[in-house]
Amino acid sequence: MKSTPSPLSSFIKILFLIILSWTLLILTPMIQFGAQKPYEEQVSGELVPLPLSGLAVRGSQIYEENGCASCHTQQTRNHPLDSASSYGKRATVTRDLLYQPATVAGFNRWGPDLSNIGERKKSADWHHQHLFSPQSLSPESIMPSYSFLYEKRKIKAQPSSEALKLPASIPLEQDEEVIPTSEAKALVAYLLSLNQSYPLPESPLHEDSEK
Amino acid sequence: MNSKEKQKTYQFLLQDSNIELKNRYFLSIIGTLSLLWLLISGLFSLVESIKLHAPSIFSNHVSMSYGRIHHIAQLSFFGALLHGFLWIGFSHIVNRAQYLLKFKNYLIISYLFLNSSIIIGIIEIISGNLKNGTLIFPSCSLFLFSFSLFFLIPVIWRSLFERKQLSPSVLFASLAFWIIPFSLITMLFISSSGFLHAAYGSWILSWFSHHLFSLFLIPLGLSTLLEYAQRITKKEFQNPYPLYFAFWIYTTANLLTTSELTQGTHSFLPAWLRSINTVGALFSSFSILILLHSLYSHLKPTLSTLKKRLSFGFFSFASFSIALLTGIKTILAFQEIEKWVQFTSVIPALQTLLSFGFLLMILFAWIYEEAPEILQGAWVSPSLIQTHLWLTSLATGFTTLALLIAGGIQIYRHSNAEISFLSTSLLIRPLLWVQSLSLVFQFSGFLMIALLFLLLLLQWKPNPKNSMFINPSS
Repeated sequence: MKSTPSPLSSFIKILFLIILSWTLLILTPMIQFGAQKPYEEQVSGELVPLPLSGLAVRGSQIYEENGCASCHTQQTRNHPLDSASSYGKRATVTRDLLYQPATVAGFNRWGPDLSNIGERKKSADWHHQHLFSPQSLSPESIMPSYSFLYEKRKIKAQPSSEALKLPASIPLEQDEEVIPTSEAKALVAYLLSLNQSYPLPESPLHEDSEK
Repeated sequence: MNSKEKQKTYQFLLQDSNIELKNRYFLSIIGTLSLLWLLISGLFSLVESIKLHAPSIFSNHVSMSYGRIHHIAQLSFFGALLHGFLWIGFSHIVNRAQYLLKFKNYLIISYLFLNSSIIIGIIEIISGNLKNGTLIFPSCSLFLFSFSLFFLIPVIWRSLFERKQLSPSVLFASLAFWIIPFSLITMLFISSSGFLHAAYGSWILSWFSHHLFSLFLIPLGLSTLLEYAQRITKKEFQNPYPLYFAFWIYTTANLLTTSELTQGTHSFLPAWLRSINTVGALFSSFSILILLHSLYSHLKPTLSTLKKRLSFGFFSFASFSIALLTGIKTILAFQEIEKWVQFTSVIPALQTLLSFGFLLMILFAWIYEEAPEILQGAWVSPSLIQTHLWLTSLATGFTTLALLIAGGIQIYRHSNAEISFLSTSLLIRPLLWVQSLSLVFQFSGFLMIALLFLLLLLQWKPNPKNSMFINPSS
């Protein structure tokens, strides 16, 4: 005759499963990945990934604070969808995140993947203009403006060397200039640091990117 | 023993009104808070949606950046679900065990702490500290621990001594109270230890998210489907064994896997875990199908009469949503298929189906079913409830469909290297308008249920029997 489970036996079974789950899903991968170290690149002899500069670390906080990961991923895969989009030269692996102060891998691509944006867009000016007015560079873009990271001010004696070089399509008052705040500079430094153009043993470069 | 004898009457219905009445202060506070957080969430979701179409709006206000608004909407929605599903969980266990809430001071302090932490979390997100916005997790952990310790354990202990059986629905409901504190503590321990924080952060968050949905909200939702079916038919399940079977498959599959389609962290998982995930996801889907089949068999003889019930539409929509979601997830369990939809709009579509189509519908069904009983009143306008059903069904249906179509377009176009990312964004923009319009529908529905609940609260009558927390022995 069948018997329904008693509360005690159910409790013991669930507890056993929880312990098994913790061992299998937390402890085992920790042992597997816990000892990961930077890799010495064969060509340059450089240890990769590179540690982030202080400014880039601050930039990663700005990235996290403003929820950039809601729309952008920082992980590419060995998959036709990622290869066709030319996001990166190889798949992202856990070693790439070794020095990342925050985890912003993301899970949605309303905007493009940024794991290799520092390699794809190398100009700080481009990033500043894009953050200040995304539509001035990409009219179809749905990215919101991050103009709060910039200060609009009257030109004093002469224009600041830090002033953004904006196109005429962005309306500014006469004698007005746009200066990046320290947060904007940090964010751009972080974006420029996102570079996965070097190979790793567990993630070699795609064949076409090596040519 | 013939089948009629086997099919026990839902006996506790005769007694549970007393039990619920004695807990009604507590339950109505949770219900009110749930609806309050839902309204806040709806409001922020609308602002978030507006910013998607008008990127320059509020662009000079740092606290109104898209990412922050998005997280506030999510956190307050989580607050709404947490309160609502705790209400549901208490109701099931209170009814089944005929147990009254005790240790009122501890519970009230825990509750205050939980709500304060949601508010602090929102303030922190606005001020830019997204990381510490997760303060809700330790408080949530403390809260659930307190209930596990002072509520669930005494209930199970009592059942143990009285040699009562645990019904499948209580098994599902109780799972949440055991698992969540454990996963939260684990997450906090690992995060704070700094051990592999960066590399593992997203995976640990994924593990947490997996537990939050797969072992807290979904089991409580499934438990509610079972409890609701027995309540409205006034009969116990004729054959509960498939449900016990489904429970153990579901629990094992979800505890031993990290598969969570709402997170895109599979790239970082070890290969052996990804394979286990595939098997786990298939078993999990299988268990839900067993459960839904039992549910349908139980309700089939009385379906025609049940349609007249106000809450039945919400209940049916929730059942349909979880069936559809299970079907899609079964297909996506295969890694090669999943990789095509990962990061596309198909994932938000599945999230919509789960959050709005299943969880929120369950919550609405339970409020419409249970609130008049515990508050000893009647809904002021049944036609408004029907309107709410239509609005929320259309909103969920349209959003899911629009996002699925958008996902299909993304997959097709992104696989072609000659088509630019931005031209695809432009093409799917009208579908995002559909999503925004649906949000307006959804928010109107939130306002309706909040208004109806408020009018019900105004009918509050003093109950001579009521006493918020009574020891059963007294």
